[in-house]
Amino acid sequence: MAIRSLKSGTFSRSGMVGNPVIMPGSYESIATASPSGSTSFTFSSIPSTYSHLQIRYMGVSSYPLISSNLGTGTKSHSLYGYGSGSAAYAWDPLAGGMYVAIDGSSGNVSSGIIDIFDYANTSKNKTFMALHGRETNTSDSSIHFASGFWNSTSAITSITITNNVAGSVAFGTGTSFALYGVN
Amino acid sequence: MALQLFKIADSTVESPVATVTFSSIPQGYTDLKLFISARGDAGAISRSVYVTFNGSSTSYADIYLQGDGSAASSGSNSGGGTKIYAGECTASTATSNTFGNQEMYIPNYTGSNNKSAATDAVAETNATTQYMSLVAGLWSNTAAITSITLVPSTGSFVAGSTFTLYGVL
Repeated sequence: MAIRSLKSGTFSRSGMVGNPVIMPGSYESIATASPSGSTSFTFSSIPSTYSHLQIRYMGVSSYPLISSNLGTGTKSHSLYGYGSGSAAYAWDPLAGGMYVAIDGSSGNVSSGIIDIFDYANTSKNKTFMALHGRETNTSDSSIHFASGFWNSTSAITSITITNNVAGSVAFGTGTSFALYGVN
Repeated sequence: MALQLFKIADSTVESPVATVTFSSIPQGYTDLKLFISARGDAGAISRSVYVTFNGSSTSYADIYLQGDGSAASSGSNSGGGTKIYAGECTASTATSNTFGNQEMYIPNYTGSNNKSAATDAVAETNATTQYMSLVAGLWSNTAAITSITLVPSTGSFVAGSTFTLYGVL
């Protein structure tokens, strides 16, 4: 099996023929969730051993909200475009929670990434950053860039995603969320 | 194949610094990814962060889409051709103990093409006004990127700011 040198980029043969080469990465899966049919789910008991957290998701959702063991947050902001894409908008939409996306349709597949940097650093208030897109080949398409603020320096140990502000609409079929730790 | 990130280097500011540089970047990865959790000491709610490569101060361009909590705007060439705009970090009038989030992706950093960089950045704070930016940057230079330098528009990055550089395979 060939080994690629990270320093030079060159390939060479393994001295241990037949043995797999294990390269210690900095991006590790912590947990996954398939919440189809549920209105919310929680990643709990998040270890504090990583530097950052990242959630990657795809599926059918409607106005998903993020909360944590630090609560529902005290401030959030959004930058977004929708429809024909001819204009962009910004606002501070906190009403009932912090939106990961302002996603008006529950019938189309969307995808996104949520970052929480320094989630276990007890000297920093916690914030998130989320980029979300939904292309439907119709005027119902949208892209949203969101952020939010928890007024607490405590570590984040659990994260809950609720599908909509009323909590009454379930995630659609095929929805999946994956939580990663970044060293 | 799953996303493979490998930490190349990280830096935690212990006392205010005007620049942060990653040098001698290994050339064996496909792309680079930079995570920034930073705060500036300038007297404002946020401060722009700029990036240069290989110590160069020429041939940069950028275009951005930005929200301030109430309106969206766009612009270009925020770095004046001498650097790439990388969004905003929080600064001294933002909520205490609150740092910005910035993520920069630099594809094909060793290739013989000109170098591009895409940045997502939020300077979240407990206030209505806050700056969030999506930025596309270009360095019209075909040299491989071997160093990255980050600077705030004025002042310094404060203690507790963290910068982490990853290689992507």
